Amino acid sequence: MKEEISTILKHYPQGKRDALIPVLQGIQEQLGFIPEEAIAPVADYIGIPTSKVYGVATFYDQFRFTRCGRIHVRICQGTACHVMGASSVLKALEKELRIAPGEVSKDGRYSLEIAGCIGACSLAPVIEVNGTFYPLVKKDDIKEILQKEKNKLNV
Amino acid sequence: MHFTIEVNNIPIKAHKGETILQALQRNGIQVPTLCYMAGKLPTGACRMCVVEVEGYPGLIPSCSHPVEDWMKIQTHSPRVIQARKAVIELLLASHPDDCFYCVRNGNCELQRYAEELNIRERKYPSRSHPATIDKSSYSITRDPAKCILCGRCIRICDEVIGVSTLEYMRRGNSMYIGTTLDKPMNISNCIDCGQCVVACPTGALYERDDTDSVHKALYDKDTKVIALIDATTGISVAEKFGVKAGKNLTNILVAALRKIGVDILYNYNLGNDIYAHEMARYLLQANRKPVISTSCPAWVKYAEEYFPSHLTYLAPIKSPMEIIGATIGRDYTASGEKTFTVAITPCMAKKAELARACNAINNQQVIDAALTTRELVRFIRLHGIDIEHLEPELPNDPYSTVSGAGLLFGSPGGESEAIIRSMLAMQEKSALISARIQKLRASKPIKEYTFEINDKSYHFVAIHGMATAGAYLRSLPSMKQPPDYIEIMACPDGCVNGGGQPIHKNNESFIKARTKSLFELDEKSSLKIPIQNPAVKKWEQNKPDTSILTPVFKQRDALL
Repeated sequence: MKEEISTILKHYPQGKRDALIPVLQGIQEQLGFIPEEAIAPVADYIGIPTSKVYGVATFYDQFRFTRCGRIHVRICQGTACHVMGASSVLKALEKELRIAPGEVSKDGRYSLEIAGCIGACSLAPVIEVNGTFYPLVKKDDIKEILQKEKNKLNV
Repeated sequence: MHFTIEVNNIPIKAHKGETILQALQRNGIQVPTLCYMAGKLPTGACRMCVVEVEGYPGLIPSCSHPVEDWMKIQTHSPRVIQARKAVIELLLASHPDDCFYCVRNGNCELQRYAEELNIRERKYPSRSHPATIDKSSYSITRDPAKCILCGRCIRICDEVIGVSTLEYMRRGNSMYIGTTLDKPMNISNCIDCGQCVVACPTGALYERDDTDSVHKALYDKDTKVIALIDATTGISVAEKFGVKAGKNLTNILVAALRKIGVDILYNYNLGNDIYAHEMARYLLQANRKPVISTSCPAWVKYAEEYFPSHLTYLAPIKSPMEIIGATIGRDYTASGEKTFTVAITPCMAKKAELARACNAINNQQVIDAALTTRELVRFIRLHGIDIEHLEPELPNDPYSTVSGAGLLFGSPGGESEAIIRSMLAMQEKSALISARIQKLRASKPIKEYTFEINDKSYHFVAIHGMATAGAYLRSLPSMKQPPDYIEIMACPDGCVNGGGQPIHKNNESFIKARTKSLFELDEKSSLKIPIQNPAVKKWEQNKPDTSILTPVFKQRDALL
């Protein structure tokens, strides 16, 4: 893990405060989450205290501190999606995956996350599964979407 | 440039470039503030200092708005008061209603403003407080439920101490002040200085209370209770007992503690005398530069975290508390008596220092508890002692006396002055000792002084405020001529403004009064040099083994 983190850090300018968010994003993209071990090397590299790194990382909803499931579902709860019935989709997802938002299923297969706004309001409600976006989702579509993603991964 | 503005229909003078709040305060007009910290950049977060300025549609935060010559200001109009009331009412909505159980009851800014603004009923329903109290640290207890998110602890920890243990975590409604990875304080990078406690307006940060253990020891018939009383505490309690700030009550406190039942009282400052004496001897024969002081435990912890490579520069001499602790420990181990030793100082970091393994003798702590000035005041009140009707008493022999030099340690630069006096005296240059070294008494954060003994020049640097010292130490490797001695005090303005001192909203005048008092005590003292103190001479004749006077410094791993 240590080596992985230092390899990622090399892509960013050292000692620059404004590189903090891109660095955190880079780590999350590579590792899927921000591990505890990354906080100290990042702070050291950027040249700010660890508390400031942790403060910024907890400020934004996009940063995760736990590894996500192999099938990671993000559901938009922005205004447009909310109006178009995203909450019923969320309920269906919770029931199907048997986890609450922010949780990872015990077998590590699924994780569920609420996004503020994905930015595709004309296609509301929207969910994103492992990078694939599904527009105009209804609660009855959930099973089918999850099956599609399972097939992709052969889970 | 001066100009006149109108405040509450009365003209007042204002300077160009200052904020509205500064102009108001200079003219004696009080405006409530919560997040504002004198001398630091304003954040404008709490909105308590809002005022009405004619011509502006909204209310203006006076702490962060520059004053201008055309301004007509209302500081206490109904509209302003309503806005301030709303701020406090909203803060109270997420604040527990448990003032009775709070250490800051009676000295809380939130409580005070709620009272001043005449808030008599709960406007918004209270929110629950799932946050748990962090009691892990030897020194600082954190109760996040009482936090109003003003950010004063964050700023003092970051800007003045340079440690940044605390920071805002998460966002909006779920924001709280926490440590890196939400670790408990004891394993965070906190250096126990306690400046955040002094900065906190409410009871969200407070000292770990050790008065209970002292109380128990007092009522244990087999235990001899020994108290070490610091003169810096003696000059800092006056205002708490209704006496003029800065008045020296050390010997009254001795009398009070005897009345409470303390068996033996020793002069803590004797430790300073011995420290200065030993340090002077070390500096005169040391052939390395720089030598850094070890008297401030918060600084020592900082060094172990941030400058493990500089640990070899630290003098091989224990801190004043541990020198005298080791001496007492030796005396009573020999006599086989069961003792409980308590140090009473303005310092929070001593609560952590006494538990350091290297300070133990035969695996036994030599100092059992450290009380801060605040705890001492509570402890005396608990026992119903009336300070006014006490006659001053002297501490017990053989550790009863102190020289003027030993008293100066409470103020930044004082330690250096004491060591310089000792060095001059050791080289039979006592005639060169000046009553006061002005260069070391200025109010600058970094003070320098050079003097000569037998054609050898010595360069002393005295720094207060841990962040300033950190920056100085980072430049140390590139210095062509490092100083001979670096005195470091973690707290800004030194021990007179220590983390364990009484909490005042505007403490500048108190710090000034205490510093002045220390200098006066030195001037009045007939003993100027540590070695003139008979207690130091006696100590010299029956000196403890060097092994128990030498500290051990180790790198400390923490998330910095």
